[in-house]
Amino acid sequence: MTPAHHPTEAVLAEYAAGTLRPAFAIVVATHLERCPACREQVRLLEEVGGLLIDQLPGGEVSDESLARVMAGIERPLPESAAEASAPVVDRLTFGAATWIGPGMAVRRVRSGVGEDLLYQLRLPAGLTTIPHGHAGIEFTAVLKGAFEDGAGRFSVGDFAEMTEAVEHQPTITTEGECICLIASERPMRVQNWVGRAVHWLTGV
Amino acid sequence: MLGTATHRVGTGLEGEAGLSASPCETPLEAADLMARIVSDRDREAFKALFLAFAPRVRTFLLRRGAPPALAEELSQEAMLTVWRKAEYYRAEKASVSAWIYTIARNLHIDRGRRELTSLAYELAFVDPEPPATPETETSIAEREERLRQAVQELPEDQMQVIRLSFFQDMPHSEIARDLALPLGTVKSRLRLAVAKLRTLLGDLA
Repeated sequence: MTPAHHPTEAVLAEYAAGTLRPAFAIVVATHLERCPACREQVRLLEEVGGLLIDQLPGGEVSDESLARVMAGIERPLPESAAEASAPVVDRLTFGAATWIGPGMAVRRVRSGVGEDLLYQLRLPAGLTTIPHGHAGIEFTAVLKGAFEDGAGRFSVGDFAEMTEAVEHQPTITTEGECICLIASERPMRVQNWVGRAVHWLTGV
Repeated sequence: MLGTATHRVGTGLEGEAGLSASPCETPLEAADLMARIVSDRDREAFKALFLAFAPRVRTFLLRRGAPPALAEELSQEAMLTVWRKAEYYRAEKASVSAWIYTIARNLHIDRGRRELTSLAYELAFVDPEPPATPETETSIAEREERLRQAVQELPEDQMQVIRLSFFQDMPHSEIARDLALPLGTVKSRLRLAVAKLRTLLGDLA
């Protein structure tokens, strides 16, 4: 099944330009692995990048630089890492799960994300979350199961971008638990005491 | 000073305003050099490709904020990667310059110790088998030419946002600040640019 919810062109353009912050780039990558249409769009944007390089003025190459590179191609190939075989999310290092309720857990990636948050959120079948808004931008990719909110049904591979304007109350579908990979700028702005307790417990 | 001889390859037409300029005379030429590298490990072809692209990759990295020594080093590294990974190059998926662009972008990200970001460009997926009719070199060159034209037709306000994003390594929020535009305007210019390119290229997909 190909995903039904995609990143915007602006987000794909930032991915192709290499300007997304790490946590956000990882969530986009997780969607791209499952979405041939968005990979095609990224390829198109990379063609634009190539074209921009073409249009730069040519220049001079020193003897030294030419000699170094021509010698370099004579050296045996360094053992290169094998082409990626496991999905990006499986190559992340997650911390231990913090249980925040029955069947509800958060596992954070703590290294390399700077000020942002990157975490896996696991929620049980049938759960309706507390209504929440987002203090900044939040990217979500569904890894397992599905949830529904005002914008529709989000299942495996689907991508959701939340901004300050969005307030939502997702419900996990009854088929089974739902696991999402989420990048966010700042902790959610949660409105009731349960949410605040969750925030205090998990840092999310 | 000894050893200051330089090598220069160019069309004589290039310049930032010279939209038709290409490192090699035509996209087909870069494609042809690349094909010789892939099939014959042709060193002369590689040398020609290096002379054409290394200075441009260096300029590209300088604009993205790399210090001069790093830009020089990574431009050499990028071209060595072209030689070493030549077997992974797929002419039906990307033009030579687009492939070199992704190599340079990824090396720059790697060097910035943005390990997670690097990981985000090592996607694992299986593409469906390409259709049985292989594209000829001509049709690949034709596709590049179409793209070149499509980009030329983009309005300047859209090109400006694209250039800042790819060259200055600027997130859209910074572009918005620099141009004193609402973030939504920056995003909608990009959306329009991509939509237009897709339409113009649509029947080539």
